[in-house]
Amino acid sequence: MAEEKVLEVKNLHVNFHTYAGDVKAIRNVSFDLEKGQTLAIVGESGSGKSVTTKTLMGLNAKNAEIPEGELLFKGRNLLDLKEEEWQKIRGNEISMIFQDPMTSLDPTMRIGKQIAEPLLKHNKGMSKADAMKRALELMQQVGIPDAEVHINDYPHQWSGGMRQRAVIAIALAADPEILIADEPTTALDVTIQAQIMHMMAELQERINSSIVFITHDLGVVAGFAHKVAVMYAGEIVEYGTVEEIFYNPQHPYTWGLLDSMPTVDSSVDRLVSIPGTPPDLLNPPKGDAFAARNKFALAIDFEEEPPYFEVSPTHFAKTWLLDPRAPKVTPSDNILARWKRWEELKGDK
Amino acid sequence: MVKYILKRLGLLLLTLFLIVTLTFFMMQVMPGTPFSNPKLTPDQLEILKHAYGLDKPLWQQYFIYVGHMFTGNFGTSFIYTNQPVITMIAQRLPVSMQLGTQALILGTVLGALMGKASARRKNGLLDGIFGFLSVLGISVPSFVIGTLILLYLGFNLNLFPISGWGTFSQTIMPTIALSFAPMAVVTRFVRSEMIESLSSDYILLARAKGLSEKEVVNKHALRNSLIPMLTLIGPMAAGLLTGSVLIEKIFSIPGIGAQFVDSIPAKDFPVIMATTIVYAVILMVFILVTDILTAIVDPRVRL
Repeated sequence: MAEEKVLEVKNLHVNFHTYAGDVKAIRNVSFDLEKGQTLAIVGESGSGKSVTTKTLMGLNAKNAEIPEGELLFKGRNLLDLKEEEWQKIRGNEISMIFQDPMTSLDPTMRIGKQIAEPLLKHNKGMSKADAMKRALELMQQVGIPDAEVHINDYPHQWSGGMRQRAVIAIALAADPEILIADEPTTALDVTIQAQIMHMMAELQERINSSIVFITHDLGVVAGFAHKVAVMYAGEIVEYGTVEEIFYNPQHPYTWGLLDSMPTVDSSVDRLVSIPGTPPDLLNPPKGDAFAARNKFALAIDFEEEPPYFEVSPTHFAKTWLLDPRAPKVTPSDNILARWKRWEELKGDK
Repeated sequence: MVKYILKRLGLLLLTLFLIVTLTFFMMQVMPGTPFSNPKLTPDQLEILKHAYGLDKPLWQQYFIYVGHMFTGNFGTSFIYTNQPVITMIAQRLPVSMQLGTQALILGTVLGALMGKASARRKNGLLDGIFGFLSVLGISVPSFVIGTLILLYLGFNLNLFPISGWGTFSQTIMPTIALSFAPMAVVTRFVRSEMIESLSSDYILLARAKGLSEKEVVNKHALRNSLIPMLTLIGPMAAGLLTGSVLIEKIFSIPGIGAQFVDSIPAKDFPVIMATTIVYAVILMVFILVTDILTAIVDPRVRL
């Protein structure tokens, strides 16, 4: 299937001006989003996931600066837009689901009205009554029981899971082409998480929108995303289809993320973690940003930044380990088992 | 709601009873007597004390006072030649209340607008100017502001009548002078509430909906920052409506504030008692009213 690109992000850089200097929060990030597909951006706190999403919405803080890059959406570079033009896109063509449903809704406005708000904003001439009718439909679509009874409720009367459904209803109101979900299930109970994920997958099928799904939890991604971008210290370190990332991971950071996912049959009695903390982006380290925490780091990692090595036409990783001159390293048993599974998968095809 | 209000009114009466009792006995602790004219002979003093019932034991005086209070009799002033206290208050309180209400409206409306403007352009020029003004409003005593207004607007520019009470134009300068402090307080309060509100998640969501900055501020941020202001306005309103001594003196306004202050060193017991009661009732009623209003405008608060 020839995939239609909805959004192309090219060489995006985002800096934040602070008193201490410029924090280079996003460094040379590129990815494509295809129609009807889901791209998951995975990384730990501070890796630049949220800044990426806010940049896609034009909602960065005032001290943010974008020295370089392009966001191509429908033939336009979003970075050239004026604020008024952004307002026509936000909540209309690109919309966003936020992380914490407990604080994302206006506590003093009725929920139905909050859902109707983007409709009224983006549909000139829509009457309030029609907008409320549509808001009710949306509430039913996202699975809010007895929506007609609860349309005039205030957020505090609802549970977190229900509020997140309302937030999703707001994001879906104008049938956006791109939906950005910034850790939409992080603040929810695990059981509710599964419901919300299921619902999002269903909705995506129905309205055929593309989703950028931000998470720190690779486990959530597995059954849902088509492509995965692993972010570290403001860069994408590995990018590939969900199978490639899960069964043929090449970057040591991805290995670390996969290793730190506990599984039922893992026999270890301690949870695995990646030692250390992400680097200070005020002064990004020389060479590979992950080198200091990487037990497979090579001497060159501390000297020179690795380029993107192509693993397959859809799979790239930013590590010197893929250089033909690099020594062969042996990752953990978990990763080796995944590689073995990858061989079997390839054999099946 | 009705049950809650009744409960609060009951509490209000109880508090009032305590205030009456405490004030009554504490007044006695003050040194001196109401009749301090050195020309009075001991016999004349006895006659005066007897006439006002001050020769009776204190507990008797207390019960007589409370008994009279229930019939609406608050006694007569010791100083102002036997004027009934109730008449004095009836004449002076409305004056103070009018002035206070005008100052309250001017101060809170201006303060809210300035606070909103400051928050939207945080650290900008307007924010700096308004910040400076509110520091002035809080730190400069009202008699300085009052005198300056009197001098420039009244005397030099001759815009408004210098003093007195009766016409609306006479109320303008004291209103401006009295509104400075509430304006300053409200500006700072609304600014900080608004900055907090503007950095909250629901504002980000409102922006993500594609709302313009103006819509974001007016539909979401403002309402959420004005609700907590209600708790501030209640006690402030009570203070303003019960009169300001300094402003009333400067502009020669026959309000209740000056009278209350004069009555204390004069040991004009009936006036002290009555004004204390008025002040307490106004304060408590305002706090009750703000609580009820908060419950009405803030859906999270249920009484």
